[in-house]
Amino acid sequence: MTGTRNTLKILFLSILICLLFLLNLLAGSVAIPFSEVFSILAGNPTDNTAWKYIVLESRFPQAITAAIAGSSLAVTGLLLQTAFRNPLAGPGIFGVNTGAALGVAIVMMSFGGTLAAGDISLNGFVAVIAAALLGAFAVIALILGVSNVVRSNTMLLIVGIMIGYLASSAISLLNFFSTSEGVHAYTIWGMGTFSSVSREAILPFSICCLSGLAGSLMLIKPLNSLLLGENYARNLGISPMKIRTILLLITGWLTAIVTAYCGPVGFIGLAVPHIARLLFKTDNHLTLLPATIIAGAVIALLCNLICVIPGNNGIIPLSAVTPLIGAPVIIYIIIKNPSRN
Amino acid sequence: MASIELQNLSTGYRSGQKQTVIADSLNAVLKNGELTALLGPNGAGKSTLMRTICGFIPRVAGEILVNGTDVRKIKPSHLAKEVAVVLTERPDAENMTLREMVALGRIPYTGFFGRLSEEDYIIVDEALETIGIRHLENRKVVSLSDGERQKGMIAKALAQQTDIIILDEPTAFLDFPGKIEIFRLLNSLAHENNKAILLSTHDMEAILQIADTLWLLDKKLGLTTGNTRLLAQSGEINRYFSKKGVTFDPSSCHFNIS
Repeated sequence: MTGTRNTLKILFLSILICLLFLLNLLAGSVAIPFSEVFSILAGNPTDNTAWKYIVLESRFPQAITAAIAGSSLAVTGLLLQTAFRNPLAGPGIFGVNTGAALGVAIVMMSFGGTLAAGDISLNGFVAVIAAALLGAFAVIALILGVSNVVRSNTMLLIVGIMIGYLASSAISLLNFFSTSEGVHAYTIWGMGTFSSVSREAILPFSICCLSGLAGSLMLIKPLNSLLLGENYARNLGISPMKIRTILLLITGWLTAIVTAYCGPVGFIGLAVPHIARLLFKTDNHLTLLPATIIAGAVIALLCNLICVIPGNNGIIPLSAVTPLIGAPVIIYIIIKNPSRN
Repeated sequence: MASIELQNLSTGYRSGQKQTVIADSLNAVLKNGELTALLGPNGAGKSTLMRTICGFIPRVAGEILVNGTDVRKIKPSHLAKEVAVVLTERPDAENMTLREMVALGRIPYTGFFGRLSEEDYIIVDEALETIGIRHLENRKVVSLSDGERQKGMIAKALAQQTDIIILDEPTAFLDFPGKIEIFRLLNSLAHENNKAILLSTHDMEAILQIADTLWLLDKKLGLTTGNTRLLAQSGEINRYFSKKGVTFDPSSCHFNIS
């Protein structure tokens, strides 16, 4: 009974993804008639090479990036929320984001702005990704290290927040000593965008993210056992320490990849798992994890669409849009559920 | 039959190089078909002993045998099929139904994704039926009373299909009738389903009338085990619990306040 209802909901969200994906191809700062977009997508020859370029080289990769990045961030949020039994856990809160950002800042500012995330000077870009991974995993290693000493999940969360602050203060210092070009490049990156993955980069980006998402699937059963608490999980034959380690590695991987390409995208990781819980009314990860993956794509595509609403007047930075959707959801969760307060 | 055996067990904590022994030279046997209660004053090390037996903290010295095998040599996934626990921790999932919670007891038996088979469903049904909470199965766990949730956890332990069930203060938050109900339930599980059940509790008067066997633990007196009635008559209970102004009357199994 609930099974078929959930299938319907998944179906509905999948249709929503297709619809939003299409809208993302249609909307943008350059007005291209619907019929032309469809004709370009169908592979028909077109006279207007600019339009063809925009649809195939810009909008299409951007929509794919949005969907995959959204799913990835949403899953990291779900993993952290269950593992740390805290509804406010997310890659942003734990400082994993900021760790990745610090890595990126070091590279961008030491290169002095010769590369922006949009550039595909390949060496530079690999450097950015490597730095983001390094930064994210440095934070994760710190948290894992501290988690051996600090047993309380709430305290660990606070440690994560503090590590995040330290990283962002390091970023500010870097800003202070950097050239104005470096600061400029970093600031642009910091606004966040799904548009910086070129068509060539789409495949590696997707493979990296999808491998992380696939990895998260093997956590479904352990995550369910953790709903009862760590000792119950242990009694059911699950090792919470092992699960936490795997989970943080997956989280670091996904966060670093997405952050390197798209900038620090906040709130999707935090809010989407809650949206999935509200929609599916379940905490069973067998349903909740796929639901979060799909809802993450929906929300990210929606955010990306909002970014291009001004049309030819420019693009709203992504980092201004995600909180608009994310923050109200979090506030609603807290108000709706007095038992958590 | 002995299902758990403690041999010269020492319990305690280790923090860095320092090792704190809470209790040592503990010898005891937990038997199938019996309800055994671990009793002792606060600070005697009851909960440390419970946690050690459950494997949540490492033992300091000595042996714990589960069905004859050193517990350290049993794989966690296998131990999960031999020992089930009921703790005071509350599940933290607002959408989880009672049925889903009980079904988590099947985790040691399910496959990669934890999907339930037809057989798993039947076992969960039976567990709910045995505990008498089938009518609550679709309720959210957060909406249940403390007693109902605790029964759910016992049903989870049943669904886990283990020989041994260990309960750490299962009646801590319950009112008096609620406590009696849980004790009677555990008593019938031990006798009718031939489980070895060990519980710790502070509800002395109630448990003395229901438990088959007692494990009495005290910092100075150590661990004494035996049949409830025999321990009462031999004056052991008095030795462990009588303080100034309180004496235990073995004939009525009551504490008298003088």
